[in-house]
Amino acid sequence: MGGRSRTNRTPYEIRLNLTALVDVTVLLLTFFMVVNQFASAERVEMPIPRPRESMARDRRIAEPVVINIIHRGPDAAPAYQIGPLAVGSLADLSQRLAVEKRNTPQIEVVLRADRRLDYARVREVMELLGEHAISKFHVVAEVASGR
Amino acid sequence: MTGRSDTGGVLRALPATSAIAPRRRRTRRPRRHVLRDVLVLNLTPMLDVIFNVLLFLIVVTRFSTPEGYLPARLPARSAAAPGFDVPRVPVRVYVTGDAVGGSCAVRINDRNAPPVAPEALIAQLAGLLKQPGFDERTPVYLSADDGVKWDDVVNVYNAALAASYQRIFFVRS
Repeated sequence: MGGRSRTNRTPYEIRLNLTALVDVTVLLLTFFMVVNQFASAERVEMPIPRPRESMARDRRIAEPVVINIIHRGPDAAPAYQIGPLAVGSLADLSQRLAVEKRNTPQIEVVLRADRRLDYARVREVMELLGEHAISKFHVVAEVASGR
Repeated sequence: MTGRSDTGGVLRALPATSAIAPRRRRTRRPRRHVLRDVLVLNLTPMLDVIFNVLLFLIVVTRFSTPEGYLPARLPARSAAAPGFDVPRVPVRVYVTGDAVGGSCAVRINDRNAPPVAPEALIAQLAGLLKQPGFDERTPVYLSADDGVKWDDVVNVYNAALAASYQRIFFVRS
């Protein structure tokens, strides 16, 4: 009884001041929108080559076909991925490449290879490009800091 | 005495107050009502959306090193050369895995020449451009051994680009 009468008498109205929360949230939102590079299924997470005085530029390429060559250990064969699709072997990669080339004759190929790979592994894929009459492509490397 | 007269005064005054009271209520109520209204902005849906977007961005954000492209070429398969192109002596760059201290050795034009230090490679390649018969259009043939790391090959390729060569080709060793 006493408790109830005390509650009834309370003159306060509890309000949550959301201003600071909204401020911080909107700031965080803006930050993430600015710094975000949308994770692309086409770009597998891997250490890419880091050349001295890198000449690599982050230029826009219209609808590139990204080929990833993924390192799986010093003695293991690498894994391949073309676009978002993982392919089991070089033969499968060749088939996919043929399809892409048929669909887009002026195909723009981007070669993303793990920096730890032996050159032989990358050369095999380059030769595959040559077989499909793709003589120009783009090699992915780290952009020099400050560019 | 005073008590009686007071009671009488109150009784007499009663009808007068009851007559005034409703008039006051009619005039003041709407004003009070307006003053009591508080405009409250309902932020709940906005916060919901913002939190969802924030969560999405936090999940998909990658703080990775920025990557760029190096334009690369393979030698053309057809033997047909452009009609008016001057035949040029190419610069041949050999990348082998026989370095003593480093991961690879780079030699220019001669497989048996002493290797070029990695930090001097750009300057050495650029120096060739000053010789007669060489310019930016001079083809550079980059041939690397199979066991050389891809990182080293790209480093040499990048050095040729940095030395202003425009036609650099990956060729078989």
